[in-house]
Amino acid sequence: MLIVGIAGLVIGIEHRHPYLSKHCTAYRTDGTPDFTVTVTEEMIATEKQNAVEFPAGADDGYFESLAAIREIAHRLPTYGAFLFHAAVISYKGEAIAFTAPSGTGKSTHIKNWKRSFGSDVGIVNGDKPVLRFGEDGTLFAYGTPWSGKEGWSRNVGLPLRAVVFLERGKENRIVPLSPADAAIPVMNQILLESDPETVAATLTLADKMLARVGLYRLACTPDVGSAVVAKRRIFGE
Amino acid sequence: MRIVPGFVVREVGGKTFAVATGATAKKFHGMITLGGSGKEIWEALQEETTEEKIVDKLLDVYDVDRETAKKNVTEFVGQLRKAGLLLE
Repeated sequence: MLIVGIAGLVIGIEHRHPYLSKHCTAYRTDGTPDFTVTVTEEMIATEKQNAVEFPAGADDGYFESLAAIREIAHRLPTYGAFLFHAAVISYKGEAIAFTAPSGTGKSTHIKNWKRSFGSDVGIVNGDKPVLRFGEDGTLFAYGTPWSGKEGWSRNVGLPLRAVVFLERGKENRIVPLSPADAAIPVMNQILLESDPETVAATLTLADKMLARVGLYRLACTPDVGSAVVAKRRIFGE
Repeated sequence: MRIVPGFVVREVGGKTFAVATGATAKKFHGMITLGGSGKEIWEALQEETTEEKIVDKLLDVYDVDRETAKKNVTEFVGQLRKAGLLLE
């Protein structure tokens, strides 16, 4: 069995293809799992059937890894955690999550942060970070091995300062959103197909998240100035 | 008529969401936001009822004329029916 540490949880994964072990190298750990998921042939077939993208070299091992993260995502809400579809970076030790429809320029915007603020900026996860509440109510963003085509992944957990919804604009403009304004966009980034108890737990966590973090809509150009405008508003500096 | 079983309803960010779970989620993907009278209509559809009865309920809660309430109920129920979410 493969054992990984994600978001402070020890997770066992029963699987058959070697891809997954390699994929999770930076997250491997030992100890008694908090929970274990088992990936079946049927789950792999379903992932293949529903796939929107077939990256080069996508084989059964690749689809097994997608099935594994889906199974893990179903178990997380019990532990006060959930998978949030976003790209997360760090700025001076705090995390910022960016969400956008594909093709909006999320990667470009993140590169602009790196270009503007250098070593103050780091990657957390490019695609599927896990968000989890700490005991004092702080919401942390954690890296996972599932990090998208850029492969942006770091095994860290940092307090989540803000969620930014990106859209293309003719000029760079950032506006704060109320929890009510951000509710639907946030829900759209959370996996909700599950049993009633898990869905209820997930919705409770999403509600807590909206009350906890900064929420912004950023209309941005591909220009490097987009990061300066966003950082000034989010961090007030 | 009544709503199919399997929906979880919760407030998220001050908005009311109904999310399909279990077997219902396999047929119906996505979530429904319940605004205004939508909440009361949804509530009423938890048990066997009729459009007429739901309109009566709305008239108890809202200061609107029967015409308006009926229009709201017909529209909302129509959407649910189209999505296959009503047992009739």
